[in-house]
Amino acid sequence: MPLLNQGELRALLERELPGALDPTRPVNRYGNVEATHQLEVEDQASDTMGDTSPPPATGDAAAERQADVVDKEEPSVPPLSQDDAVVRAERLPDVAAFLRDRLGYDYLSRVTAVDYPAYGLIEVVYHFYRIEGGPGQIVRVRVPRDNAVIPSITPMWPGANLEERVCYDLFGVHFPGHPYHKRIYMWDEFEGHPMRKDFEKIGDSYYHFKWKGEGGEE
Amino acid sequence: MLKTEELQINIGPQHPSTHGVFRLMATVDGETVVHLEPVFGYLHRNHEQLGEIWTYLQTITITDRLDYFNSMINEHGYCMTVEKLASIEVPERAEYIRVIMSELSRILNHAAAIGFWLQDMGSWGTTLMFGFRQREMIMDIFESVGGSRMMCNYMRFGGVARDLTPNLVEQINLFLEGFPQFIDDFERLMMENEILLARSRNVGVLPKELAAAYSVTGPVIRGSGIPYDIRRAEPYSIYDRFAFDIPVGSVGDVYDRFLVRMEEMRQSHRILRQAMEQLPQASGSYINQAYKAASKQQGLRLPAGEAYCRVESPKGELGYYIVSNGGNSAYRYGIRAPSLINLTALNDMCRGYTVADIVVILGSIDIVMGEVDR
Amino acid sequence: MRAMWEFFFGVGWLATLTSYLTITTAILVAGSLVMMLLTWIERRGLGYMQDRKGPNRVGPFGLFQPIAEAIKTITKEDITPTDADRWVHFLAPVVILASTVAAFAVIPWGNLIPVDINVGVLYIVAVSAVHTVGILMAGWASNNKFALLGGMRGVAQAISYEIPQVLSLVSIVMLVGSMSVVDVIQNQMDPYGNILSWHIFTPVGLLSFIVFWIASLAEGERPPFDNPEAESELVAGYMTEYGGMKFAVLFLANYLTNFAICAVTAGVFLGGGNGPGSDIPILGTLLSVFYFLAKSLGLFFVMVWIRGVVPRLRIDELMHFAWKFLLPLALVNIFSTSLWIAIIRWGAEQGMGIAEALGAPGSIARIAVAWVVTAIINVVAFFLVARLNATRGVTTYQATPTAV
Repeated sequence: MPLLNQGELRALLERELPGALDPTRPVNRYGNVEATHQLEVEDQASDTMGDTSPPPATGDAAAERQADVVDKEEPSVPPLSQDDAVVRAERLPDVAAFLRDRLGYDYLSRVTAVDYPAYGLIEVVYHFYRIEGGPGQIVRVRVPRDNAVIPSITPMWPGANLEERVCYDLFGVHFPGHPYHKRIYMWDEFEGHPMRKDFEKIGDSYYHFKWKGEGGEE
Repeated sequence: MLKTEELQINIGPQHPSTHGVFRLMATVDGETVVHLEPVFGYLHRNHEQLGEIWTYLQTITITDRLDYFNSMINEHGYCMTVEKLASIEVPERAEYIRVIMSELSRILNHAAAIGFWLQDMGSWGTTLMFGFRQREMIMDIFESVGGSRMMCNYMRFGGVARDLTPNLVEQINLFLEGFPQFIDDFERLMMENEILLARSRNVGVLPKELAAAYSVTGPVIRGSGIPYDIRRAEPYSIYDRFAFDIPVGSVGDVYDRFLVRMEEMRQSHRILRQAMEQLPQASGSYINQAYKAASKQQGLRLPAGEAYCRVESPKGELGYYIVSNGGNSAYRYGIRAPSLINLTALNDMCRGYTVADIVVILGSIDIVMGEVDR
Repeated sequence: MRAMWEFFFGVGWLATLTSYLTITTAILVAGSLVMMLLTWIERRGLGYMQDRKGPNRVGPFGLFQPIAEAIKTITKEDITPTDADRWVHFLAPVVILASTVAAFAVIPWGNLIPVDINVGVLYIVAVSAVHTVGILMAGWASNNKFALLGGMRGVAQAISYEIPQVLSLVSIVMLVGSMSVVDVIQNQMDPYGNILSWHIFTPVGLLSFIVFWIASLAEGERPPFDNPEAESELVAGYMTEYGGMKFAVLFLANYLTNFAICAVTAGVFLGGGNGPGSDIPILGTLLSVFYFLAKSLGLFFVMVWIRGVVPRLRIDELMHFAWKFLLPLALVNIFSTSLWIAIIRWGAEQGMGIAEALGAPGSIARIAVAWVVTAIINVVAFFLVARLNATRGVTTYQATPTAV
């Protein structure tokens, strides 16, 4: 089985499974996918979650660190590349079966979701490996944030069961066909999807301290 | 016919043998398990989101707390991923030290895992205490090297935080000398015990054909007969320089996993001996000199891109996925926790066995809730 | 004892009553003190087996640890779960403790015995069987599924293991010819010197001892049979919902049962109280108490030893063991005992004409023949039953060494 890099995989998929690939998106002059949405994500150095950085040490190390923290440039968004094996959501089970049966990638290592509010996407990344060893393959699925639906590959790969539940719970990606589509970390009545970039950093608003003379909210 | 009902038992978050706060809702028919539903989230500490807020260096401290039984391996995996993305080269001596610490962590983990598994079976802690004696010796080494017994915070980008002093090398060699005796004692005490065999043979079988589909890794998949070890499948660090075997079981039951873990301790000892022999000839320093300054570590900015690196943790395949946007903290920081994925198979492994077997099977998968809930 | 009180009250029912009350108090006090000693032995012993020290803070060598624990349990709040059946929950520990303590009425402490009834052995077994009811009460009344599971397991285990226990004692009763505990002990004093006549040193007695010991471990819920209290599976089994004083009562009952078992074993098989010099008038009584305690505590140490090493049997394996291993052995043992008695004591009129040819009843030749015959039967039976019940063989795994 030849080892493929991303471009080759993309070409192979174009040949074998027509219509599976995601159409290319408009690029900006850096070759990155054009940012289509206003960036609403907060500054990474902001302190709405409370000061999580450790107390500054003494000396110029502290000054340097302060400088790092203070003069943050505008948060940039990681680029979405063009020649990866990006697959349409509804064709994902076919592509996964193709990888397993034809190319021999029979071990699914991870299902990860990454939130790109700037592009209005959630990208779900699947890492496939072979049991015999060797480097793996990556398959990406990009779904719009407000309608994140990907057919579940749990019927084919039972190992994806819990990972897909994590993606549902923390990112809000729905997986029709999943045998047990429930939240996994948060309790069932929780609203919202905590790992999304626009999830309000509300602190621990479920637990109210009532100080003397102050209200109930944090 | 007598009308019987299925009883739903809650093996609740507070339980002596659920290895942490972990809830299992078991539906049993008499004593036979019909369905198992695990409930997670009791130890969810928002690890992945913290990784997005803190700098890369600060995140090393929380990677320790993922799999808190063997902390060094978590750090190893994370540092590897960051170095891959930033193209930082790690000198040879640092690689040797990292391998030594990782293999010591593996022994740490297996000694405790086997001990706790036997404790769950009712052996009231004798073997556990023997395992803990070895753990104490290793934790003394960790304390000398990293400052803390369990959450060592020792590895840095480009190497490790401190060098190994000759005293420490002496200490490690002493430990390695006494170690084979411990394993032999352990084996003699427990391996052919009739009750142990009766309770673990053919219990919790995971057939070979299903193992890869379930994405289980570590001693679970090796017990089922598939020799998948990342140190061989996709060698990282300097593992391709050491001669070691990969123990593989045949049946896939709980006893096989126990045997695999025992043998893995032996193989770790073998790797450690080779590493200690080769350590004096290793070139380079304990850290990449360009990244030695603390400010360089703290202010490390990774170029935009992503990386996914896996290490062979004693529990399975531990993977780190970092997406960077050019800043000094991750845009997305994800962890592939072996304990969580190994638990996918728990329902199928337990079905048809009795309630008493649930804890035995759970102990043989060897989970730690820090990883499962992150 | 009665004579002493007669001196004070004159003859009559008052003297009898007070004498028995004194004895009862003495037994209860002695029992509790021994129980404290037992917990100390257990914890220190387990500690040293696990390469650590046991309790060593409270008092020299941790000897006052049981007192500290007693104070702790007494001062704890007594909680009854809301939905639990109040009266059953309250009475369960009482039932268990009562059945255990009642068995102490016929256990001889050396040469002293509270009451010598002529069905002592039967009485002990019968009364200690009542604790099964208490276990079920405790499990049911706690309104907790774990406790219920633990209670059911406990009952199943207790009634299964009572049968081999009783049947093994039947052999001894047949040997002795009487059910009185004192007679059983006396029987071990007769023929030769003082040690070799213990029942354990006869083939019949040895097999009987093995069966009785293992079955009693299960009765007393000691590891490897501590399923009802399986801590790692059911938290504390039927004792889960008990705290404070009620838990202390259950704990006390558990240790008293185990001590009673050790005492009975020492008496029936090891000639409890017999030893060099135990027939001298006053000093002999003290010596016999000392010997008795030494033997019982030695047997208890063996119980602790077994606990330190062996994991727990699963409930179905436990049942298999009782019904398929111990019960056949006990039955075979009864058969061998009858052969033993026939060869040694019977004469021509009972059909053992052959035996007459060897000599008079009780002669050395006959005893030797009986020894050989019963030894062969018992050993063969043991290995046969063990072979029939063998677990699946150990298949060693294969390590696949991969090339570097």
